[in-house]
Amino acid sequence: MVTLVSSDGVSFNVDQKVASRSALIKNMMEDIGEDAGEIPVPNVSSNVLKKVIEYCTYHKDDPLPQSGEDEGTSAADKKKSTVIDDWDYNFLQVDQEMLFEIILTANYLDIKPLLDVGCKTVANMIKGKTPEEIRRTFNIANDFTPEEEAQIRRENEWAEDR
Amino acid sequence: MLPPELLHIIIQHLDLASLVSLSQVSRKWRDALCDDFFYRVAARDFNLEHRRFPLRQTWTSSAHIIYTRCVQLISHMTNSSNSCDLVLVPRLIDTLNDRDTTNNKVEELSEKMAQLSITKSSQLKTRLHTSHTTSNITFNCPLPSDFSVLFPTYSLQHLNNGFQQFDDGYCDKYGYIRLTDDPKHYQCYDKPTRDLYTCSNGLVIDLPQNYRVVPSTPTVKSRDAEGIWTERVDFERISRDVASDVVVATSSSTTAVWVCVTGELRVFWWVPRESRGQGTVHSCKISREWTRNKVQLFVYKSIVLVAVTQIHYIDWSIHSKQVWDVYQVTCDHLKGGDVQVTKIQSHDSSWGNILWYDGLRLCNTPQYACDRTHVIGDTIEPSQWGYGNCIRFNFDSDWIVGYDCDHKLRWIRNSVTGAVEHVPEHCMSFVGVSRGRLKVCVFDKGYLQERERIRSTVDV
Repeated sequence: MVTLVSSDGVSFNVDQKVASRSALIKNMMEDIGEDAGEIPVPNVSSNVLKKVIEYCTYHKDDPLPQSGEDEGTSAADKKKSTVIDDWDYNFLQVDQEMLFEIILTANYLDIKPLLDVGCKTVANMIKGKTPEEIRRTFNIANDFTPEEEAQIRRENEWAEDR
Repeated sequence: MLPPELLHIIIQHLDLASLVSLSQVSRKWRDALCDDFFYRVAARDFNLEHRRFPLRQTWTSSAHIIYTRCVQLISHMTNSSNSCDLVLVPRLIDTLNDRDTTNNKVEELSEKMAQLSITKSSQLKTRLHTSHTTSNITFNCPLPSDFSVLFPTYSLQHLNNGFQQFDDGYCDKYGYIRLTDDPKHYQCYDKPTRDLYTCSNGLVIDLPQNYRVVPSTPTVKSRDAEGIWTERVDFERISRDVASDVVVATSSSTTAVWVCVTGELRVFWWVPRESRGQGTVHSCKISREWTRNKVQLFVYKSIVLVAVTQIHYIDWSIHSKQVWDVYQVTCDHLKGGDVQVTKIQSHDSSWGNILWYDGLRLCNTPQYACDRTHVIGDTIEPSQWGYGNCIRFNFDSDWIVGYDCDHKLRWIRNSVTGAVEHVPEHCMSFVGVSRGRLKVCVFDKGYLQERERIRSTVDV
């Protein structure tokens, strides 16, 4: 077992196999040895860490992604990559703030599958939306001037399918 | 709020349309995307390693769009039987090259294009000799004689090393370049746009990488009674990076021959004197800011109208969305006196060319559809006009001249006599005419369209 300590001081006792889903923690455990003891996770709050641990527990038996796997993925595979399996989809049915925290934590702890599925979830929230719809979805203020908007639209016409 | 740093990861899962929407959400997001946006898209779509595709920090947004368009088109072409875009991509690359001195992206795109050329060789052969060049302009009109505007010499410009002569080639009077390392093959280029078309041996050869062809001095030539072309007037030498398009127009109300050359956008007019071989060339500058765009010239009585595509849409020609600025040039063209240039309109022609404009009414080809085949008796709707470049005409005489989409067939029709003449292969542009009535010649089987209906057909 290994103990992960969140930024707000909450300790989580986690099976090493589960903790090893994080490449960062796995490396730390390998560096420190068997007596890893407590591992601080200073950038992650307890409620987020709890969710991340839940994900790692469910996926603890999945094969680990190989280094460089991304580079070898074909463009066609990438395009299919917004498909999310049911458990992951339900797992990520959280509020936006939590979703972003999970993604940031996955990035920090180097949990590639979680980072990937989190970004797919956000990507699915963006796909097919107009800029205004995206603003509403993510509560973003439009800070473009009308002139800038017009200019951007003109520039982007090239990228539109005709 | 979605942290901008996540965008770099999220965009890998987005299609191009979503990326474009995303870039319009806010300035902060746009800034966050710009450093990485196209880099990621390119890396994904080309399956390239990131390090092979360095992105300049100063990469401009318009270049982004151009680059993205290349990516999109190449991707599209890989999975499509549509070969039209094969012409566009080299132009995109060419334009991109102008904006990026590192050439890294250009090289990658060129590589990709070359690979595509191999797999799509038949399409490429079909399309790459679809040159709409006006490097050689021949027109027949009643006044004052028969003329031709020629670019008698060409040079090749190395895109990386600046201008240099291409010593191993020579140019014949039609602007063809022959490469001496393989004398059986001829390469014929369309100005700086890399368009390539076949010569007599029917072979298509790629443009040497990193070269483009630059026409030099345009001249006006006239044809004497025996049909011999003789050089008559030299226009001033234009800079090496100009002349993506040249058009000629005449008017029955004057003897002037108008020539418009893009680049440092300038209108020339040549006022012939009574004795053959004599004449005076005048010119006025319309704008310095536009280069390598497309131009249309309309002469209606004493009114001269020049329509030019805007800089952001340069060189896309008929394949791309174009916004035309229309200028009226007023001057005493017989004497070459004071000249006034007034911008009178901007016109979004969508993907088309302006075919006709008399200061009040304007029509254009809304889209291209070069794969269409018309049959005799067809009513050709504006959306089916196909390549707008196939058609040019004027109001003041009886001639309408057209040529087909791939430049194999060119013909002139005298609407009074009904005579049909085949124009020499090198004829790339023309003046057409009708007396106050809109008549449009559409390629293929040679249709004559008056206003919106075909009145008669022409056998060719």
